[in-house]
Amino acid sequence: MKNQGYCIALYKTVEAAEKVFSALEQTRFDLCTVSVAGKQPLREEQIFGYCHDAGQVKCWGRLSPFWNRALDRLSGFAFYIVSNEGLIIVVGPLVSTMMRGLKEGPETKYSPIRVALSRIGVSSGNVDLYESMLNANAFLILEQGTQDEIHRVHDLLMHHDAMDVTIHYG
Amino acid sequence: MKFQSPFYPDALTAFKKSRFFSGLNQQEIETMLQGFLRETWKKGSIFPSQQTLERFRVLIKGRIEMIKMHPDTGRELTVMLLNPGDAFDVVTLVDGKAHDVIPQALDDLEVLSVPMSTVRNWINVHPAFNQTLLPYLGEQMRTLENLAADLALHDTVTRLGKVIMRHAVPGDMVAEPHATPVKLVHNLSHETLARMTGSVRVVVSRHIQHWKEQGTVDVRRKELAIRDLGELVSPELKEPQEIKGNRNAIP
Repeated sequence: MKNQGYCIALYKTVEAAEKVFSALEQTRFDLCTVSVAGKQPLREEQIFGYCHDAGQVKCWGRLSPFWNRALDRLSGFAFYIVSNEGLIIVVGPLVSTMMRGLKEGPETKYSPIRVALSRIGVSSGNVDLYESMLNANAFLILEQGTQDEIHRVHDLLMHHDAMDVTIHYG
Repeated sequence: MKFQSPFYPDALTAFKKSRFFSGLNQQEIETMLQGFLRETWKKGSIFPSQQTLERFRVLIKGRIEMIKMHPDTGRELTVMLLNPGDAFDVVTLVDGKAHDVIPQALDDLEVLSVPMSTVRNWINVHPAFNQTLLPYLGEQMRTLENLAADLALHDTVTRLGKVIMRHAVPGDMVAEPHATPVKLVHNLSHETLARMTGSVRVVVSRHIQHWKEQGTVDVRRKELAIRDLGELVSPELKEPQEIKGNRNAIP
């Protein structure tokens, strides 16, 4: 029996998230199963924007190098605004899960990331924590795969300054 | 598991309360925690047998039912109910062989897992860990012994009464001033209670309904509370006539 699951890693800084992204690339890991979520803080003195040009989404602003790199390699892009907090940006296949969840319940009172995480089988207590960490400027890196794959990724993610790496079986 | 993890405090508290790790000091527990991997499993999940052979798990949140199933009839019996702080699979840990049980999540679970080889190493390296392992194994053996004795020596209604009594917490009054809330078996389906009793759902439902009508137990929103402890201690006296008459037919 091949148990499908998600490995979710929490990183405190964009530098740590960038490092793990490089490590995943270097190991020639199949990035099409990886998703990234993080917050782009909005401050009056800074500009953040995105555009869709020639089939590609590009960002500019403080964290744009990280987001552009993720956008180059992963498919799927979404963002939503949390009032007084900033933009929550999601890149990767988690966006499809999020959109499916939102289509099924467009009147939902929950945030899109909560809808997506709940749909992949993360329990509500854990979703609360992931959401609060995102709002506190942490980054989530998610990898979907079989038991063997996510265990392999777990070891890699754990060695790159992750605050936490948890495997969620749905 | 890393010290910086936001889930670390919960895991540390669970380890300190666990009978399995109770003999270890804070430093030893913290060192061991570093080697664990955090996993969550949804309610109803079944742990793959290969995983239980390779990885040792400590339950942090939720309950796990260890089920034995008849290969032909599909009838099931719960041989053990694991709670936060319990570890599994200790049988595989001891003999290194695959264990023919089905571990099924009764709730959404949080567990910490570590390779079996690491735990076997801890048994050699940490004498305190070794000392807590043996009493824990003894307790599990006692539980299995009680189950075997109950199945062989008592009828269904007595076994069901014993299952409920075993998990009751006298004195911990919550909703009803004269009711004893049942700590573990609450929120469990009659199907699960039947597996724990070694019977079938229909029989368990009938007994609980009868006790409810007698005022012995109270069932509200799937919470089971004992209103009359004395009646449950001697359940034979309160057995429904239609069941008593067909006792031989009841599994």
